[in-house]
Amino acid sequence: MPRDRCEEAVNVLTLPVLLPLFGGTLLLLIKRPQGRAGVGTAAALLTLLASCWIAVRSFSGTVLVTQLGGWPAPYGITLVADGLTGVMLLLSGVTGLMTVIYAASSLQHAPRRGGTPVLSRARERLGTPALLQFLLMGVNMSFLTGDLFNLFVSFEVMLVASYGLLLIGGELPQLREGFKYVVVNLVASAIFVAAAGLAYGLFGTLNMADIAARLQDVSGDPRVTLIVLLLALVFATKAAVFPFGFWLPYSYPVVPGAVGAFFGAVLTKVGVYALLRLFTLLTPGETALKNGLLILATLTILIGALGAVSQRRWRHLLAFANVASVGYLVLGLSSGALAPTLYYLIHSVLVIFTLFSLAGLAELVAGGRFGDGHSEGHLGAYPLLGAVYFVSALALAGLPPTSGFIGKFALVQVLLGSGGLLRVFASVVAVASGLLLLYAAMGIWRGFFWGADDAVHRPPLPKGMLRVTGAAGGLLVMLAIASGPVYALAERVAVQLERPADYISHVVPEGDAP
Amino acid sequence: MEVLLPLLAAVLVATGVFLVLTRAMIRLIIGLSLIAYGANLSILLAGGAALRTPPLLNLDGPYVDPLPQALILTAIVIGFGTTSLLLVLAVRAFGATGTDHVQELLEKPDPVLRQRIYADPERPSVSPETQDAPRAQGPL
Amino acid sequence: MTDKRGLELYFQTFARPVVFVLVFLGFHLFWRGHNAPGGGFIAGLVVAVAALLSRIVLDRPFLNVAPQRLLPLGLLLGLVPGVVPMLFGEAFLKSTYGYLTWPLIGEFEWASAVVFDAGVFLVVVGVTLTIIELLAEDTDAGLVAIGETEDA
Repeated sequence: MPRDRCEEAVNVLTLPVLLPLFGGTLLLLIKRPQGRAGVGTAAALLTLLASCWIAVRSFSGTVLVTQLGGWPAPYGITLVADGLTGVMLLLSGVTGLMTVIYAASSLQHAPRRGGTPVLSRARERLGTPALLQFLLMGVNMSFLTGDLFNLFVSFEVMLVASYGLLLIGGELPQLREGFKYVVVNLVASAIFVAAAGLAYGLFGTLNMADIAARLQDVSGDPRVTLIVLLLALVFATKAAVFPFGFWLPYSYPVVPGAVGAFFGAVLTKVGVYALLRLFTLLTPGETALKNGLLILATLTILIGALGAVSQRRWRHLLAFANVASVGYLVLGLSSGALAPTLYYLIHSVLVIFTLFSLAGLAELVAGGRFGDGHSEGHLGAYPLLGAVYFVSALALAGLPPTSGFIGKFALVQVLLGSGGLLRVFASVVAVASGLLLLYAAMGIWRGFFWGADDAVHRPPLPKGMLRVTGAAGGLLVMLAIASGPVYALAERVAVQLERPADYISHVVPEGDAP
Repeated sequence: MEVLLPLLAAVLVATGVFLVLTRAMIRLIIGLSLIAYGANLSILLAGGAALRTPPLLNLDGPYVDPLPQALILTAIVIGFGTTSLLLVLAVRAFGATGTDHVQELLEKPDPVLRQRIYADPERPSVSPETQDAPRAQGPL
Repeated sequence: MTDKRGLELYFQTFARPVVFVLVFLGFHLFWRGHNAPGGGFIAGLVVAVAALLSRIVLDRPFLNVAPQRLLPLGLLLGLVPGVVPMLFGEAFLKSTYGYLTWPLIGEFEWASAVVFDAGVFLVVVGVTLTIIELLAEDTDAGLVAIGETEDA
């Protein structure tokens, strides 16, 4: 019965992967920067449209499946889109389009002093736009794939593109941080390959749905725990969960502004997505592992918040705030609070993107630092930026009218509801860290926006960057206003995630009979 | 084979870890490749290490499982790309800091060093005759 | 000094036939890839070695195009057999094959996957040469989009 639905070849599923690949390839051929900006934006826009189509279809509760090359499920590579994939595709599509526009617009300006250049023309010529498309392709493929090894390949596509984006320009901080980033990810990749090999040896398949269907056959086998542990280690490294996230806080700030926003908002969330899949599809049990991850997540929140307080540079502060937000997400998924986690995921992507794009603008105004007494009182000259910052800072800290509050409140409610000393402690840390993040964010407010207006030089800011930042802030406000429907959607997706049988039977039609 | 290959994978990974823990960048890169080879071997093991005929239809079975080999090929190709990226990175870092010592790369203070390691494409920083010289007698 | 020149002469004399043989070996491997071990990836590596030999020993570029230019061409070529079946409502990358009977050659099997393989071939040659040229250079250029090798 579900077979027929598969047969109608939902080829649209390949589009979020193919369009960026095609766009990136074209970008390598185009010689004029204006042409590159146009093609890049068009590719990102088409990708977003395809993602929207998939998301709308998947939100209705169906699981879309396509078999690449026409090979049936356990033998070929399957692309699957359920509600979670829909949410992730939508987020990556929206932020991807905004990043492309922001990057193209930031070329009109060179930074005044200090900090990371927003995106210099030389870097653009060396292929930043094409790499950005390949990055988008890798991210989308990670969300769509239903095959463990293909997930590894998607991660590598994404990572290779991110290495390029991190290193283009070749300044010393980039080499320094890039070296750490590449080495850490190579080790994680080797572990991923070994885990995939173990999984193939044990299950005889790499299709995630097929593995999930065969889990009962091997229940109690210690090798399952080993595989899950290795995979969790790899995904936690990508998501920058403490203590595997030491590479993140200093490497993201060296990425050029426009791209840094996408890195912060989406790349770590790919790790979170993979953890979500792992814990819902492949390991319904494993409570000990979940409790361990819960402790690590609590520590991640704490480290992220404390790190953010200690920073005096925009991007470094935001990178630590990003670590904290990953901590909240992992806390949610390891404590089984899926609906709050999904809502917080949407919120977190938007708030981190908004703040990073604000950081790019702030660097144009006054360099990457704040609160060093040289440059204060920009609120008068840039009131709109101040307003966007104010809203997103409140959202980051999780204060009442914003989406951050709704996400955190729902999360803490679930944590306290399930009881246990560990969970109570985790929720205390979650709330306290919110206050620390607020303190950190107010540091930027006092050191950059507030104070006596003494700056003489007021560079005009590129319109495209301003629009993108405003749009991101607007989406954040929309998320708070429309929190009812969005939260209902998150609950629907969470229900779908909690019943993996549906997913399995769509991918492997003969399903439960191995 | 069933005993030998896991041992070989273990030796590869152990050697790789040892090399990664040393401070020279080139050793670190070699160590990472060794770890990747160990991981690839473990995939080969997952397909069973029995000596069988290659999966070609003009030969007689029983055939070996072709999937692990396809996976390993993919992993090798990706490793090829990332290793060469790391090599380029090491060369650039050497050009910038004059050392291939990881700790020195990470700790050397910025102002001492040239900030830009390679210049904008439109600015020719090397004259044509010096540019050709290292190519002709390079280490290749 | 004279020794070195003698060595170079030695190399140059032998490099010519070796390059020739390598290129043919490469194309043979590509052709074999149809139904026997071989294919675009390994053929690309062999041809890249030939190109390197020609570049280093004979000091003559093998191709008149910059190797980076091959990357987008190869990627586009690789996309063709993926996208064309989608236009006919088939699955992405759905492969097809058939037989042609040619005069002189006789029956000949063709497969649409060979186009993908040709794309892989171009990407591998381009990537290998780009990487080695970058490593051999001391300065300038920069990290031009290397590393899109994941299609093989």
